[in-house]
Parts: sequence; C-alpha cells; structure tokens
Amino acid sequence: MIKIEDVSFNYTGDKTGSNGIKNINLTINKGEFVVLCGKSGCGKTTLTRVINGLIPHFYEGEMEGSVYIDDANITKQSLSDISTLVGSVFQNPKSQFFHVDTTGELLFGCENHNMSKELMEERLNETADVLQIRPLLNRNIFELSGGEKQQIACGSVYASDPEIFVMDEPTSNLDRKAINRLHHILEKLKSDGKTIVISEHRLYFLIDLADRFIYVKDGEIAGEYTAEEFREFPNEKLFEMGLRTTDLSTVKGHPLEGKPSKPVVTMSDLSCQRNNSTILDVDDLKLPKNSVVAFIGDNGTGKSTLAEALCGVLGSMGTVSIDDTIMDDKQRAKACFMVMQDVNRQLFCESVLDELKLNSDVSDEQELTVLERLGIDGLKDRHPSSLSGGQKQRVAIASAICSGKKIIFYDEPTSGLDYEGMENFSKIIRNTESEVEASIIITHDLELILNCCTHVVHMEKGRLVSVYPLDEAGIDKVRYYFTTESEEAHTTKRGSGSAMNRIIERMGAYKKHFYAAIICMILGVAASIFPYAMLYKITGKVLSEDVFSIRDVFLPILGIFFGNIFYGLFYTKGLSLSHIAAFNTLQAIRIKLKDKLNKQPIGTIRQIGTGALKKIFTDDIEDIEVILAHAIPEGISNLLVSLGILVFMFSINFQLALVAFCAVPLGLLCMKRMYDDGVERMGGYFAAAKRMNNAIVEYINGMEVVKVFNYQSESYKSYEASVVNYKNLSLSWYRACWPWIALYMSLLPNMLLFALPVGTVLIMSGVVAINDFILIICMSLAIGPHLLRALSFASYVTQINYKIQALERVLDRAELREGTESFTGDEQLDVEFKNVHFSYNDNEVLKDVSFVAKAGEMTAVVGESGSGKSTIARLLAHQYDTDGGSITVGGKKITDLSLSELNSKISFVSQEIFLFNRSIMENIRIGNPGATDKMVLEAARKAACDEFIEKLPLGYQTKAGDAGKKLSGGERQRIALARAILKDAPIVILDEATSSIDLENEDKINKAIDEIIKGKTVIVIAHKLSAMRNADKFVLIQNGKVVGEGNKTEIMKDAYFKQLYKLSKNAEEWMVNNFGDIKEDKAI
Amino acid sequence: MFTGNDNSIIKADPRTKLLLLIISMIIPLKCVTIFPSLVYAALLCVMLFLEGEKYLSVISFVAAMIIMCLYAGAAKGGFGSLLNMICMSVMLLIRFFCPITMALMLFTKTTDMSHLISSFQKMHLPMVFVIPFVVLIRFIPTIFDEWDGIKKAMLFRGIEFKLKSFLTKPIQIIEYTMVPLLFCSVELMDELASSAMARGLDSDRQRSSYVEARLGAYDFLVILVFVGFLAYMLFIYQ
Repeated sequence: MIKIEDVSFNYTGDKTGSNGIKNINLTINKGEFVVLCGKSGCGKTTLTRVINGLIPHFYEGEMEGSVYIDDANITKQSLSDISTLVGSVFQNPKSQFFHVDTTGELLFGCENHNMSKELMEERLNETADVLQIRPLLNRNIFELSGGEKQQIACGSVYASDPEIFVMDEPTSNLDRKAINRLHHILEKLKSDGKTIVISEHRLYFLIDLADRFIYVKDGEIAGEYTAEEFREFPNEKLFEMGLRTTDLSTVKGHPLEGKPSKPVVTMSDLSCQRNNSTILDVDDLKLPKNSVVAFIGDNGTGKSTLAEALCGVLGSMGTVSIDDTIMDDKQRAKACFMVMQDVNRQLFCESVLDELKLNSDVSDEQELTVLERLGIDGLKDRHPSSLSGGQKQRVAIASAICSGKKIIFYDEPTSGLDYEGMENFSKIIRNTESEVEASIIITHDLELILNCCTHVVHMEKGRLVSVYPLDEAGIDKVRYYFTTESEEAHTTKRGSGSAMNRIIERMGAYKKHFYAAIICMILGVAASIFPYAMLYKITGKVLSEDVFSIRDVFLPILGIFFGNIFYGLFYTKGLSLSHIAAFNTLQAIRIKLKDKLNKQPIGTIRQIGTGALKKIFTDDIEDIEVILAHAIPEGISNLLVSLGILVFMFSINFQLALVAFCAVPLGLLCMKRMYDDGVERMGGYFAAAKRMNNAIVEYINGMEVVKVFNYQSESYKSYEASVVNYKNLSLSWYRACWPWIALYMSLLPNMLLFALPVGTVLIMSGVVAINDFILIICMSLAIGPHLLRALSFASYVTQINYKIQALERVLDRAELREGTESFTGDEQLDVEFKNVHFSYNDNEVLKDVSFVAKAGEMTAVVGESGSGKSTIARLLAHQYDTDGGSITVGGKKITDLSLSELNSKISFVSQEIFLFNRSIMENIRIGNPGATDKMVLEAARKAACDEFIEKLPLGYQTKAGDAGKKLSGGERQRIALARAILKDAPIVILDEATSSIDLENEDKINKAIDEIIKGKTVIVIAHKLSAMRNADKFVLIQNGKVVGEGNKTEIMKDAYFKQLYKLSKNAEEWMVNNFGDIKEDKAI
Repeated sequence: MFTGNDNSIIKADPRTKLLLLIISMIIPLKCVTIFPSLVYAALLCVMLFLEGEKYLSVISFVAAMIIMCLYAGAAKGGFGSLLNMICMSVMLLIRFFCPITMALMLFTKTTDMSHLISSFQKMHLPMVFVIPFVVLIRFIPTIFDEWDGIKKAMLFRGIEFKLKSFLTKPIQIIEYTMVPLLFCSVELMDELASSAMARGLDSDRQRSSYVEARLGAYDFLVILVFVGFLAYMLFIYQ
C-alpha cells in the first residue's frame, strides 16, 4: 500500500513552481493499477518520483509531508532500500541502461540488491519466460529497437521483484507494435497482483487495464475517476482537460478536399546502405505542394532514413528533385530542415535571436514577425537551453523559416505531448503553410495525423507500402492501421559480416574449392615473380665477376623456365577451381531465389516486374560469376603477392623502394577519383538499366495490342525514353571515367619512372649499392603487371556490395505467412472470413469483410466488377496476406497452415488460366501429378474437354503452345475445370470459371461442375446468375464491404441484390430464349 | 568496446588481460630486435585467436610482420640522411606502439562489461572508481550517437564540420559542437544516474555479480608464458 500524506514539493531553482506538487493526499492499495494523467508539466512525473524515492533523495528541492509504503516512511529511507520495494521504468529508452548487454541489464537490480547467483539465475529465467523476452537475452542494447529497450527496462525491474511498479511515460517513444507488447506485459504484472502506478499521455491502451485514473492539474489532484467513469468521458471533455483520447476509433479527421496539386518533391530509385545492407529502397515517390505528409510505419522501418536521405544529410543513391530541379545532397541540405526529436542537438547559440541569425540574413523585424507568429516573441533574449521542450521546438522551426527552408521535416514532434501541445503543434504547421512548401512529419500519433496531415506515406522494411491522401477512405485506412494489433516479432540478432562474407557462406561445400583457388593463384603469382629474382642473380653475377661461364647462368635460367611453367600451371589450376566454386554458387543462389520467390505474395512479384526479375535471375546472378571466379581470387592473390614484394623491397632499401613506389599512390588517387564518381552514379545507372529492362519486356508483351490499335508511337515513346536515358547515363559515366582510366593505366605500371633516375643519382653519390638497385628494379618490373591486374578488379569491388545487396533485397521481402499445422482429415472444412482488410498498394479493396461458407454448401459471392470478389478468392487461396483480420479453414488460420497443406485442400479455378507449353495431357495432370492417363481422360471427359481435344492434330499429346495461346479462352477454362476434377479437393473456388465458355457447352459444363462440387465446400464468384443457381448462401459485396447475406429468399429482399439481379437478368434474357433450361434460374 | 564475443575458445580473466597490457607496454622498451618482437606479436595473436577474434588475429599478425620488415629496411639505412631519419623515426614509433595496440585490442574487444566489473570488484577497487569507469565506457556509443545527430543538425544550419572550417574559425566550430553536445549529455547523464539510483545502485552497499571473474589454470598458464617471456627479455636475452 502506498500512502502519500500532505506532500508538497518544489524543485530547487524553479521559481515558477511548475512541475512541483502541492498538498497531495493519495492512497493506493495493494494490487491497484493507477494511471496519473494530466497536461505536460502538471506534476505527474514529480508524483512518480515521490513514490520511487528519487524525490527527495536525488532531485533537490523543498519537500513537505511524508510518503509511506506499507507503513514505512520512505522519505527517511535510503534510495537503495526503497528500490527493493519500488521498481521504476522511465521515459527515455536511451538513457536508462547501465550495461551494454541485455542480460547484464536485466540483472542489474538484482546485483545491486546483493542477490545470490542461484537466485539471480532463477529470476532471469522467470523474467525471460513470463515477459516472453527470451529472444532478447544476450544482445547488445544498442542494436535493440526502442520498444525492445523498454521491454528490457520492464524486465530489469521485474527481475528484482518489487511489489510496486512506477512507470513514467513509458510509451512516449514507442510505435504501435511496442505499445501492444507493453500492454501484454502490464496485463501480466496486473494479474500477478503487483501495484502499478503509471504516468502517461496515451490513455487508450490503458483503459482496459486501469482501476483508477487520477487527474493532476497544476500540481494538485483535481479528480479521481474509476475506469468506467473515465471511459464514458466524450473526447471533447478529455480535450478540455488537456488529455488524449481513450479510444482511437473515435478520433475524427477532416477529409481532404480540393484538387491534387503538383508535386514539389519528386524522388526516384532512392536507396541507402548501412552496415552492408540496404535499409532504404524507394522506387518512386512524389510529395504534393502545400501538403502535410505523415510518414508512418513501425520503428526501424526506414522512416527517418528516408527523411534524412531526402534532406541530403545521409548518403544515398538515386535522384531527388525539389521544385523540378534535381538537387544533390548539399543543395538539399540547404533547402530542407529537420526538427529533430532531441531539439537540444540543433540549438547552437546564446540567445533565441542569435539562433535565428545564424547563417541567414534576415532583418530584426522579420525575425520578430516570425517569432510572433509562433507565439514565442516574449522569449527572444532567453538562452535556448533555458526553454521548455515545446519552446525549443518552436525556436528550431523559427530558425528554419528565417533561413528560407522550403521543406521541413519533423521527427516525432509530439512524442510525450499532451492534447494541448499536440493541438498547438498542429496550429504551427498550419501557420507556416505560406512559407513552407511541404511539411513532413514522422509520427506514431494518430491524433496528430488526423488533426493536421493531408497525406500519408506508409513504410515497411525500407519500402513504401502505400501512399494515399487523407480523404474519407484514407482516414478510415490510417485509423485502421493504428487500431489493429500487429503481429509481434522481436528483431533478430543482427548478422555481422560484410556482403562478401555472406556470399562466401552461400558457397556451402564449395568453399574449399574457393580457398584452394586463392592459394593456387597466390602460388602461381609467386612463381611468376621468381624469374625476376633469377634475373637479378644473373645481373649480379655479371657485375661482380669479371669472367663468368655458362655454368653460372644455367641454374638461374632453369629457374626462369620453371618459374614460368609453375606460374602457368598454378594459375590455370586456380582459375578452374574458382570457376567450379563460382558456378556451383550461382546454382545454389538461383535455387534459393526460386524457393524464396515461391513464397512471395503474387502482388510482390508483379510489383518487382518480370523484366527486373529476369535481370536478377540471369544478368545479376551471372555478374557474381566474375566476382567469384576472377575478381576475388585473382584480386587477392595478385594484391597479396605484390604487397609482399613491396614489403620486401622496403626491407632491402627504404629509399629506393619509396622512390619506386611513389608512382603507385598517384595512380591510386586517380583510381579513387574514378570510383568515387562511379559510386555516385551507380544507383542511377542500375535503376536506369532496370527500367529499360521492364520497358522492353512490357513492349514485347504488349506487341499484340500495339499492332492492333496502332499504339506504336505512345508505347514506343516510353520504350525509347528508357533506352535513351540508359544510354545517356552510361555515356556520361564513361565520359567521366575515361581520363582517370588513362591516367592510372599509364601511371601504375611505371614503377621505373622515378626509380631509375633517382636510383642512378643515389648510386653515383654512393648511398646505395648497385646490387640493391638492380634488385629493386627487377622487383618493380615483376610486380607492375600484377598490381595493375589486382587493381583492375577494383571496379568489381565497388559493385560487389551493390550486386549482392540487390540479390538479397529480392530475398528479404516479407514472405507469405506460413505455419506448419496440417489437417487431421476429419474436420468440417468451413471457410470463415473475419474482419478481413486488404489493399493492393494504395487502395483498400476489402474493408472489414466477414462471412462464413459452411462445409458442404455452396456460397455465392455476388457484386459488381471491382467490388473485391476475386480478391476474396485469391486471399482464400493464400496468394496474398491480409492486412488485418483472419481467414480460417476448418477452424485453422490459413497463416498457420503450410502452403502445401492449404493447396492440397483447395481447387482454385480462376478467370485467367495459364497452360504450360507441354502436352495437354500433362497440363491436365497438374491437378494431380499422381494421376494415371485413364484418370486424366476421364476428368477431361467430365469437363467436356474431350471433344475439342480430339479435334487437335495430336489429340492429348498436342502442345498447348506458349502460355496456352493455341487454345481459346473457353477451352482453357475447360482444361482448368478438368484439373480441378482431377484434384478432387474438398474446397472448390470457382472465380468466374465459366465466363469464357460458349453457350453451347455451358450446359454440359454446368453439369460437370455440379458433379465436382457435390458434398464440397464451394465458393462461387460469377457475374452470370446461372453459375450460382444452386447456391445455398449468397454474400453480397459492394465496394469492398459485405452489404447483405442470406439464402435465396432472404437475399431477394435486398434492394441492391435486386438491382444487380435485374441487370444480370437483362443480359441473360438474350439467351434464355434459346436455352429453356436456364429459365429455372428465375426462381432465384 | 567491452561488448565481448560469443565465439571464444577460451576466456581469460580480465585481470590477466590487464596484466598482458602492462607487459606489452614494457616489452617494446627492451626488445628492439626483430625476431623477439615478432615472437611476442605471435603470442598476442594466439591470445586474440583463442579469445575468438579470428580474423583480427590473422590480420594483426600480418600487419606486425609487415611493420617489422619495414622497420628492418629503415634500420638498415640508420640515421644517415634526412630521409632515412624520418623513415627510421616513423617506423620506430609504429613498432613501439604495435604490441601495445594489440594488447589493447585484446583487452577491449574480448572482455565484456559484466566480467570487467566483477574482476574490478575482485581486485577490491573502490566502487567510486568502478562506477564512473563503467558509466564512461557505457557513454561512449551514446556520445557518438549524439555527435552524429549534431553533425546533421549543423549541416541543416549551414555549418560544415570540415578541416578547412576547423582551421579558419576553430573557436566557432568548437562552440557549435560542444554546446549542443554538452547540453545533450548533461540531460542524458542526469537521467542515467537517476535510473541507476532508482534501481538500487549504491556505492556503499555490498553488491553481488551474476558473472564471476575467476582466475583459472588457463590464466596462470598465460601469465606464466608472458611473464616468462618478459623475464627472459629483461635478464637473459642480449
């Protein structure tokens, strides 16, 4: 029990009395969960400090009254004694850790309490299990995300097992995922009967946990409410009290109106690397003029990276233009400004006015008007560090406006702000609209987004997920994002090692070959040096002896001969080994890539594009061959031996070696200039190549349309543009490179250039012996070509990271969520959609779709084109993952099932059918690879395929042609039905399965369908009502929402269904006259 | 720094490594010839290897070899000409710091903080020394982080942190970097201290530790080898 009796406190040196508390009387019972809420600076943090003893033991000030915990007066106890009773978690994850490793940190409290080792072991295990943070053990604190740090902070307190937990704004730096996780932890603590006191601005996630809310105002308790009372408060009342909402779904936004304006910031192919991995990869993004854009996404998904890359303070590749002019990093840093989360970092001067004048030429009047508009003109002479957080933020904004910045970024500007602070910030954003062309806010704050933003950019894993304006639909979408629980995952321990190491890991068993290749080549290169050593021997003899015989030179000549032979032998052996390793690695990579691709959502594959994928599978992987077979082994061996010889030269004679070597740095300098230039252009170059590839593929695929509609000029334009762009980029790169190449090619091998003249002088002056001189000359001659060869691979070294990362980027996209569960075989395979949301990139197609398709029944999904019917089918077949909600089959989530298990239970007959260029027999057999020929024929007969197949020249052995082009659409659909018949799966999805079938066959087909769907769970999607005449249940979809469901009689009452039915009937009237049997459809 | 690693073959006590660091400071004074220097470098590299820094050990040995070869080349010329003198003194300096650097790497890269604190406690160093030391080490990455942020903030404000601006207006540049750095650090320090105190850190109280540094047989072996080498160099080798 905590009892606070008549406590008042004022911080020393704080004359205004803000943050202090007055006459607090409060009793908190054991096991109670109490939330302290109130405006910023109301004294709630001070109240938490009174409980955990930091006041009066750490923070100095005048304190009156006393605090009791279980009848002990803690104001008289020492802090370390209090800490056994009270555990504290603080706001800033950055500054509450003492250790660098997580395990040490978790046990920090225990060690301080002098626990025994065994007890600590036990506590550590319990903490890891109860709070589910085992994956975080033994990690470096600095590689954890903010949310994970906060979990460790909770864990550290939990491990020392206090009765009371005091938390001071633990979520102010957290994203939605981490808040979720913290919620679970708090739930756990509460169920353990711990007393919890938490001071917080974000109330929505505490509303179901808290027992009591205490509203603090101006240092006094102004109200106590139970959770029920508090929940009833409407938002308006909360806002008046200066509090955030208690329910995110009630926050209202102002839908955006007006026409889209032209983009002010345009970026294309922006990418960014850190620590050998690509952390940002944005193809295309445009930010409209006068917009306020919110960057959302979980922590560590690249929001800040994107912002910093746009600002030009973080090295990146790609092109960014502001106001239609392409700008490099420096220019962008001049045009942009970022208000950082920690504003302390960006205030440099001694007064607010000086701060505004720094590197800008504004007049005093202008300064004052800016300050006035931001409401801080009264502070103009104060020292920035004496201001409050919000005021500092405004000073930073004012400085940005004074120096004429066009685009301002805000990094989580409202973290830890109350409602009033957030409202004020929104006002500032609106007030600066006239000077600032675009404001970009990185935030986790839904209220702020709905209050002032016009657009949302959603990121995940360094890529854009969607970009949308905040109109009605956009508001729903962003609210949905913030109110759904995302799945939990801990970040994994970061793999160390460069791209090179990772590719070597991929070699597997062929690593040996690779290393052997390097060793062979080193031996080879060393052997090639040997003849020069022999040459030195011969010349030495010539110089030292007056007479010499053939015997003296015989051995050296033999050495020269064998040296060359060994060089050839070893080098070729090395090359053959390196090629074995390289090609086997390529094979492994290709297989891995294919497996990975199988697990990708279809949408992702389409998004990458066939051209880009083809380039990756063929060209990019092929490029790795050069790197593995030549660049690395040859580069290393040539470089190593050259370096060895250089060291040897230095040990022979320092001066001569220096002279001989001095051409090399010059050559390297030229080379470096060239590569610096290359690295800068590389991103653009590769992006242009990728675009050209996609354009070519599109052009060829669309050839038919191009020819029929005479679309030549339009389509050719985009093709030509990409080719010209590619040409320009390559040419400009080469143009920039050529002079440097010429320079270093002529400088590098010329080690004699300086050595010869200087050496002669040194010999003449007697400083150097002639023997040494000859040796140096010989060695320079020997290593010249090797050095050049090694350096010629340097261009690959700059590419290697890029290439490998490009490959890995394809691999690291989010896979379809897949589990390992399988069916036992006797389940009722009911299909249930529960609150399913789904969007294709920017537009939400399914909004909260829920329905059940019972086992053994036929469920028809009806709706207009584009209402999301086919999407439902695709989601059930698990071609995509949902954005939210769940799909269950037989009570099991499809994300928990393995893909193959799910596939074995579902036959999916879709609108577009792909046939492989194999015999028709084989194409049907895809439905069930184990089927005999007889079964295939039977299935084909049932699907009414046999009649047209037999007319084909080779019957069932006819090739289907490229993508089945030889067959008509109706024929392809019939083959698809035959596949489904052959597969005989318990769930059948018919997505417009009979749309292309001609009338003559429709009757037969319908009978065939009737047969295959007997006793199965069937989901039919069709325009034609005839296709669903036997449906047991109808689900009516309009605009991505379920607007009605029921059986025939129920659905007929629905006005929207009637309208659809009428349209469809009108269409069918045409044929009803010819085919009497369809008339019975009128019954529905 | 002081994060340790997971792939060590044998873990020596931090005290042993501290002793090696001290020995490595004496060695270059006494052994000036190439061969014993190389032997000592090899010993240190074996230590690095056993402690799990495999690449580092190989690289540092190669580096030591190169340095010794270059030193030999420079020593040949003696102090004859000006060029020689410069070469000689540069190489002398590099050679002198070579073993010290290696021992320092061994100490900082392969020791983790918990072991270090524990061994400090075993050495009966007063907590008033240990705690500031630990906080100091803990603060280095944070300072770098802050520094990174400040550099970016300076870019936005048109202050470039470059050699040129540093030479032309040094005082201004120092002011612009130190002011925000100090204000950030003071705040962080305050928070860190309050968080540590609130969790019971107290220099007057007995403190237990989860990982215990202990001198094992391996440590004594290592100490024997290194002290033996030092004794040999000091008294016998000439």
